[in-house]
Amino acid sequence: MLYSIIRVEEKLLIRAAEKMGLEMEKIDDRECIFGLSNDIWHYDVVLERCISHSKALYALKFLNEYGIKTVNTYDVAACCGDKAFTSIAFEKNGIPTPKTFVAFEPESAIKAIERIGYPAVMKPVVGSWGRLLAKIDTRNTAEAIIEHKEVLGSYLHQIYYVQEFVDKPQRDIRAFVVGDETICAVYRESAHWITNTARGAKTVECKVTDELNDLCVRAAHAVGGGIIAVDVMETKSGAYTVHEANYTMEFRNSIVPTGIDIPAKILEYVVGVAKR
Amino acid sequence: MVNGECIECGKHIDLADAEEGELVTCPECGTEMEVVSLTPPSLEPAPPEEEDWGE
Repeated sequence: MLYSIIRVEEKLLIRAAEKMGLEMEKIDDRECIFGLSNDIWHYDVVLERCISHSKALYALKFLNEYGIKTVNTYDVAACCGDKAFTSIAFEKNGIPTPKTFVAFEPESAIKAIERIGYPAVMKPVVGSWGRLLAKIDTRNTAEAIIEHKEVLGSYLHQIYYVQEFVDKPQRDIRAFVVGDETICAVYRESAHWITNTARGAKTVECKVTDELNDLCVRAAHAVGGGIIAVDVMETKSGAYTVHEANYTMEFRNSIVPTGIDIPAKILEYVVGVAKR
Repeated sequence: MVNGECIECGKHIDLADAEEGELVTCPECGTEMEVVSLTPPSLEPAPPEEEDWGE
């Protein structure tokens, strides 16, 4: 297991591996070295659990080029780790997703927002845990947020990713897809429009209907498949719309409400990949 | 019994079930630390959150 730091999830995976009698080596990404040819890495499969998207991408690229199986793959990480790429994959594969535009300059970002209409949501293309999301209600707000993003450090803040605001019922759905099955799902409930558990949302079990399972598995396959957490919103009309796919999913708050041993399911899948 | 000591407030922290590289939080003052070693027990400040961190 390649990791940056052992969080609750990685600890649960280590303990699950012990319970299942699997030989798991912990690989700290801070100690890794990758050469252009491989004489260092010899594993049946690598479960990637880096907390840093950039490090995960490079590590997976090297490992996959060496012919080492990984969960997830470089292609999946590249797609899920960038919201614009994820949106493209959803659209291409017929997954319902909020209307989205990408622009590169402040003036064109305003045009993109006004094509969508207020309120709109602006998100960093790379980022997680609900950080730096902005709900934009007026042109004045749009101009202020864009001005701030112009001076933020990373060049990626000038890739303006603008999305339709979905007026959801104070919750969204986080569904856990492992291979070809949605193993469980939770509602993430919050009075705030941002419903990430990292921002305080509470998790409650969401029954996985055939419709939800089908949608989430298709969404996971759209980004390349593997172990994917799919984020789904319910629209006012009762339809589902999928807004995100996460390739290094956090699940600490979803085991108790669902009763599903998520780390064991992950490891069973990883062992299956090693045997392919 | 493996115990560490909070780098901020000095409270003893039970590391009996800890892993090297694990993130632990002091129950007294809330400081986040990384277990850099278990033999001997050693705690250091947790790495600061970076922009590309996430899931």
